[in-house]
Amino acid sequence: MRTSSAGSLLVVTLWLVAILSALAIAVARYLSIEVRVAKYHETREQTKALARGGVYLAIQRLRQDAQAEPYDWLGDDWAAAPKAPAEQPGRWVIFTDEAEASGDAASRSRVEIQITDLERSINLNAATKETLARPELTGSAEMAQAIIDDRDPPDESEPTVDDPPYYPKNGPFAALEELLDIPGDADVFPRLRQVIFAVLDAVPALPEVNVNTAQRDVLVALGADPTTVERLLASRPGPDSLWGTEDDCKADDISRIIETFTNCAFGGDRRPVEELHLLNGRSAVFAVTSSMFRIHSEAFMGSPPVIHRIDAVVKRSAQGQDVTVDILSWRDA
Amino acid sequence: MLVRAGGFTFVELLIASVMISIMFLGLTTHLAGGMRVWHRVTETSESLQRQRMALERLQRELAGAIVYDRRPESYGEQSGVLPSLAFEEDALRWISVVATQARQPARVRMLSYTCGQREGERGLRRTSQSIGEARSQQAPASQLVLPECETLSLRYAFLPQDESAPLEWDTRWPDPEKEGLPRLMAVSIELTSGRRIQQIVMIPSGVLKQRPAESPS
Repeated sequence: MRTSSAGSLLVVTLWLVAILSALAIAVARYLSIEVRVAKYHETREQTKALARGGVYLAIQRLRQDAQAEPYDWLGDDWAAAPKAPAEQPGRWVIFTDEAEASGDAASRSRVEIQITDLERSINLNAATKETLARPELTGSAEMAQAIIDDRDPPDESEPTVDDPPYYPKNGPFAALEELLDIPGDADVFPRLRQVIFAVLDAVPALPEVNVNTAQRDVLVALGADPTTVERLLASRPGPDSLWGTEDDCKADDISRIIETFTNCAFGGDRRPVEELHLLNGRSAVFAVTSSMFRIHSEAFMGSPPVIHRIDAVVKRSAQGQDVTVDILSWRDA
Repeated sequence: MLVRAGGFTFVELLIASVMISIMFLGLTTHLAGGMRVWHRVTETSESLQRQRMALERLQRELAGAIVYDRRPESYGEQSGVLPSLAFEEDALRWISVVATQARQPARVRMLSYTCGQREGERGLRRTSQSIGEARSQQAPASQLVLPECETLSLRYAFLPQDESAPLEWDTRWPDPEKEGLPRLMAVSIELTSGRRIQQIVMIPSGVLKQRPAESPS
């Protein structure tokens, strides 16, 4: 070997420096992952709190609404100006960084709240077999029968299944997801979720559907004429399609439903409204108020955004100025 | 020092290798301590992570709790009815709507959490079964969610007689089937290391009621 020892010292030093640098880089990388994980958890906790806050804000809005007027319609504050012709309530968006309002709306921290009344849909615990079998709902007589068998007290016609043993609930449904345990086509579930609701303590007492908020498919499933329903829905925000204007059509009292809609939706023609109201005698009674609401609160934070969603169902009961709102169900997602 | 360009003598190499060995020995004993600390830190943080995940899961599943059936005759021990709900000092059993698969609708499940010994293994165990399985009174398979769990203790909040007084806490929530679920509960888990983790968990759809008079405090 013909090297000098001065040269070998440099090589050794370089090696040492390289090893130490590799170690330092490994430690730094490990720590930076830890820091990122911790940061993510912090953001997630904040997002959860924000979404939870959204639900309580919605409850507050519902409370104020009950004190303001004795009827509910889609022009109310809670419905946040739905897009005409009034199928789904709008979303109410609150940015958390109002002061430094910069950047595009999609990337800012915010909570989006949607309040939907349940009386726009059919109460699963009160629905008849005929209604459930309609194409707007399950579209299958077998599934409608299976739902009835599971819900109502047993009778002789009910099939007994022993292998595997199947035990019906024979009581009211507490959650719509219970339908997934009933034999039937699981593909109809997303559609059912739009038009049916199930709440244990909602006594299947009439009235059922709020005439001011009911959806098209719900009214049709209850037996109303589709053309009449289209006209009724179009009349809600009026010809100008704007909420809160003079031409809006809403029933403010249960005794004036026929009169109101005859005048503002059907140009004085009583017949279609009377037909619609005849549903009364069959399967539905109309109301002008809603007492149960689904609150969907979705919080977004950071970029890429951490998202937290909460679905809650609340029940509002008002006695004069005294309004209480109880949470019936809550789901974090 | 006089250096010959021809190379090193055997003695020089010997001295150099002895010096390098001593240096490495010192370095490794020093680093070994560091590595031990590093291992401990990693283990602790993994254990903390497990604890947090277990508590978070419990919290999420309790938040989704529902009153499934208010009729007392729907619960019992014979097949065809559901096992009774439990909000006890050391065990939980309730019905919740929980996500079981990503992108699939949530399902109604009967869940339970207990902390104890089973098949020679200690730990916090969770079970989850469908309503049909629960009705046929099958023993559900359990899943170990926190091996470090030594004991699980739960307390439930009650409204005080005097409205301005703080909430009262008791180790048992009576009649969850009929009277509804508790609104607030304090979950406390004692770990094998002797440490204790505590958290107040809310069931938003639960109720706050006064403690029944005959209940032991």
